[in-house]
Amino acid sequence: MRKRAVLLVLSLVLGAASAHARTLDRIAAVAGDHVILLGEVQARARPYITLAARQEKDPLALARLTTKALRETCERLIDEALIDDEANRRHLTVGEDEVDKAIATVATQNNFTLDQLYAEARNQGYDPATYRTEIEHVLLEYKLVQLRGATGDQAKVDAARKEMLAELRARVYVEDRLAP
Amino acid sequence: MSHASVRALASSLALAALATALGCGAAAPKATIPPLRTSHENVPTPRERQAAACSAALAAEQGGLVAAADEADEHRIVRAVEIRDGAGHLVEEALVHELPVKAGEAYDAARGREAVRRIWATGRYADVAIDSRTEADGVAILFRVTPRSTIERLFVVDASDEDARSLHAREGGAYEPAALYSSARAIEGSYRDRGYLDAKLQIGSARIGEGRVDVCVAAHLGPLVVISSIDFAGTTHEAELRGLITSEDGKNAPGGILDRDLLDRDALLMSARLYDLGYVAHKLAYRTERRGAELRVIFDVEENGVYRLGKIDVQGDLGAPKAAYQKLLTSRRGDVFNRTAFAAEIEAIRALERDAGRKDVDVDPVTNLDAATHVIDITIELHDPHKRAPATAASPPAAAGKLQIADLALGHGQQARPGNKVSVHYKGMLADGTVFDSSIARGTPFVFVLGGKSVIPGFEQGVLGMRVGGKRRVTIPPELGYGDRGAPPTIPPKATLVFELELLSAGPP
Repeated sequence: MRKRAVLLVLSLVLGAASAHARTLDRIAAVAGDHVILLGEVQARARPYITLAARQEKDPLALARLTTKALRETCERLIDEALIDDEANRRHLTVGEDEVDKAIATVATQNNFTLDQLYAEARNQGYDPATYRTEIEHVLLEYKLVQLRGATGDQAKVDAARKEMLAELRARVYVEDRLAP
Repeated sequence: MSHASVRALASSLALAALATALGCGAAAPKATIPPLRTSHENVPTPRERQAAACSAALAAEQGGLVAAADEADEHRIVRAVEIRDGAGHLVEEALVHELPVKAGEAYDAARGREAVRRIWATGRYADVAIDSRTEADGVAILFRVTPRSTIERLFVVDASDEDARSLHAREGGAYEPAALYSSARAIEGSYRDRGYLDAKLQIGSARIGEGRVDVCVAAHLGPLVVISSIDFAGTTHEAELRGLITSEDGKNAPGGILDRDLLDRDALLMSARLYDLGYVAHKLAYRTERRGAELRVIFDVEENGVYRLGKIDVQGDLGAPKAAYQKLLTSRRGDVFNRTAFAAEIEAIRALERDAGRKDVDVDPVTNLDAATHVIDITIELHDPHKRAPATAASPPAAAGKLQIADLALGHGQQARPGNKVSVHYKGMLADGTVFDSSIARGTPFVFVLGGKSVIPGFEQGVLGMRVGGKRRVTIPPELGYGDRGAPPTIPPKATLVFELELLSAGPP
């Protein structure tokens, strides 16, 4: 009887487990016609979360940093979606060779070979494809900022970038579902 | 360590890349990369695991951040794929078959995201999530959808009936915020075109029950902004230039609203008139000063003196004795330069070439201005493309419809903006490297007005944003170049073109 009761409990537990549905992914943001998923936000936030986890020892503070990283990354992905749209509108692109050149320069500046740089990027939580995507968007954004007449002076570039992003956001419906 | 510093550290890689790729590597901040750690250090410690759990709990509490798929979900065999609504009912059974996530295949997160986008694209749902349910030998993938709310009541405040009808919202219809915002932005634009420069449509929504919302759209038009005056500075021909301002329906006149498209066109006409009066080096631009509901328009003009003709010569691949060309040139040394008259002479030379069966000959006037003496020397160069090696094969469509710009050197001077007259040196090549045209070889920069549509779109877009002194390589797809027909015999059909550009000057036309 005791054995039977144990089996019953086990079957209930297993049954509950098999019926349990868990969420794998969901929509984190909407930017015009674009949909950004939480899995994408998490992948892009991984470098920041990885670094934070290494340096922040207080679990609660780390949790807050993680949440903040996800939210800020989500905002960044919204910006990137809008930048892509604007770049398409203006027929602007970033070539693979430009990304290659940028990455090669970063490696040189840090006295790394390309393999060492990618290894370090992986260590920071980047996969090579994500790293290239991030570089590509930075270059694309800078090209758009250049079109607004801001180059050289960092303060001017920052101001023009901020103004551009505000204008791009004002054009379409933006919903950040991770925002507090 | 703050998140800001974490972000700065990680993004320093990208920032350095940006600066160096754009040719300002010396000024770029050096990326700071933390020391490498050995592999065993990457295994989460108990504290890190505790932090992760804490993070998830906190995230869930703070805004619905959920744990996304862990690594174990990848590559598990999908046993069933379903789309269910909030009540658990199966929906969209036909759509399931079109999703990239298939039963019998290994689950792939990227395909899962693509499936979410397909479901979202139907426009019927306000939210889509992917759930997994563990099965004995795999997983069942459930796309959980939340239907869009229905608009119970729609309030439109201070907008016309016509505007209300233009809004993508109606009582009893689905609440689609993206489409509603898009329609509101279009209405704002139409108000701005009518002089309400501050027009803004605010949108609010309130959930009033399960799947029902009230929507409010409030128009804030602001004042009607009208022109108080149109002034000219720096010209001795104000009356003549003012006479070129077109006023349609009271626009671009005191008391009327500003129409920039119309005024841009008029500014070009003014500039053309100044050219015909000999002001070859003039600058003309307009600006506006707003005070409350009034707008002052100011045309700033620099005439820079009247230029007279010096030497006029015809060179190059001449198809007739030089005297035949000189006979067509009625302008004489010492005459005030008149662009319209001179253009007519150039056209007469082109007609001469056409009549002689040399219709492909380029007739390019090359001007040399002496700012000290205000004398303009002109050399008319004739280029017969048949005397150059013709291009052979069509280029591959490498650019895939998009312009590619690579900055070879950033300039530091004036930036080329729409409406500017710009001077560039260029070398035009086919994708195989064949040079089909070069202003450098001719020794004369190419001058045109940005936005004037006088050149192929890709060339214009390639120059836009450059600074004087800057150099670029621009790869132009056929769609932005000479299209399917090309420009025989130099440019083959569907040719991708590569231009190396150097911006020499940019300024008001």
